[in-house]
Amino acid sequence: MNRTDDGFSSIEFLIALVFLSVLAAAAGYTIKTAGLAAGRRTAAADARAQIEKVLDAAAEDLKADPTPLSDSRFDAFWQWNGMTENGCSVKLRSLSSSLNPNFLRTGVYEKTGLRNLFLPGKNAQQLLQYREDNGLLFTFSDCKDFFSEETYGTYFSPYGWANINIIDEFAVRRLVADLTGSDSDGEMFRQKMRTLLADKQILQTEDEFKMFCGISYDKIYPYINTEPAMNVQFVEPDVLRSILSDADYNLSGAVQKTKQLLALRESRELTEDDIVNVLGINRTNRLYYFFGTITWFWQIEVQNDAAACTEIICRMPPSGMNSQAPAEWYVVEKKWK
Amino acid sequence: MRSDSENGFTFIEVLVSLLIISLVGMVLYASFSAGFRGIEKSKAEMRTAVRRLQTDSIIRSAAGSVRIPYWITEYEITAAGETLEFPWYDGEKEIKTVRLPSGVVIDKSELVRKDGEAPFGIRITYKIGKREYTTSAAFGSFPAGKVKL
Repeated sequence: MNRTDDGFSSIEFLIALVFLSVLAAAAGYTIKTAGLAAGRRTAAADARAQIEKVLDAAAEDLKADPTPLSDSRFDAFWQWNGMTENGCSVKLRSLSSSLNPNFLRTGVYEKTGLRNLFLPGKNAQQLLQYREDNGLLFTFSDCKDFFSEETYGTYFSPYGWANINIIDEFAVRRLVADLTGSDSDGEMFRQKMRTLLADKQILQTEDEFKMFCGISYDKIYPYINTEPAMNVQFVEPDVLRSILSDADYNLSGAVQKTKQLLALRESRELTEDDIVNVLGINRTNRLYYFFGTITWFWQIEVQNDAAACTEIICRMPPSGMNSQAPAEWYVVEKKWK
Repeated sequence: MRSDSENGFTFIEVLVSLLIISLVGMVLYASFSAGFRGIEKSKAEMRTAVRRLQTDSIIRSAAGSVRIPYWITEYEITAAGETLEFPWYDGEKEIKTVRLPSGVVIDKSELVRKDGEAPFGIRITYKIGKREYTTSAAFGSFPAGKVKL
């Protein structure tokens, strides 16, 4: 009898066993990897779907606001801020209640405590020059030479409609040039605005603004309009105090009035009449156009374990004859991570 | 007595056998040859499909990262060879160059917009080999007043 007739030797058997084990392990690994990849794809799709659901639900609350002329911390929409729903955390920010690094006049920085927001050695004139050289500012990296990241994140946002009565004249030139695609249109608009300023004239209504713009109106509106720019109910207290204290607006008892507004906004939703009553000003005072009760740009951040989305929405200002029409919101940006 | 078979094959039998073996060989060769050609073709198709998927994904991802400020109405992208150049990538003014996989040649690029308003996406036509493909992708930003909430 030869050896092969005796069956496999131990070594041959072991080699075969090792070979089969390697094959089985490879097959198992492949199946597991494919399964994990498919699972990750499904989980990511589910995570995004959950976020979309939360965004839709929050948007429904915004649209169903029974007091559309006032956005405050008492609205159902604001209750989404800090909420966790279906594993998604939600964060809201009233963007247009922040200072706009493009539109704010240099004088407002220079004559108020807002000058302290600049990094040491930087000032509003340098910011203006930078904007003139590089165009309107859009991200923090545009502003990093002027403000710290923390200051920028707390006090500034480039999102907001500009009010014709308070916007910086150089910013308006650049904005109109961008909107119309014509530098000369920008310069012409600035010259018209200088005339308004020289005559101490204030455009109080959308119809007056329409007449002022002439044929350019359709391109310029709603980016520039006559609505108060910031929502007093979300504006940072230091910003409110600083702007109300600006000597140019001759507001007596500014510090006291700031405290009054801050206390009122903690107790209930404010109306435009509340602002008028507390400040004792009306549409004939430029200060009126800084603070209103509507947020024009909102940022909604929704995040879960697998995905995150930042959506920026804007509200169209009421236009002329349609001032009583229901509010309309539009998505301006949607960024997924 | 010895049987015929024990006497060996006749000449005719050998010839017929050779013929049959040749025919079978030819059929086998043709089959293998066709099989290998098919495999090569499938591999080429697969490579094209992968390149197409990569290209589509790169274009969509790049377009989704474009955040044009809401006040900007004029926008231009540059497309040449295998590269696309996007201004306002992630909101930054600086132009971002995006390279497509090798072997992909951009044929045409156009902005997607309505009624002469600010663009909200791009449409890129490109060739992989002789085939032409098109990918349309939306930007991460939309002109104000276009996409209703």
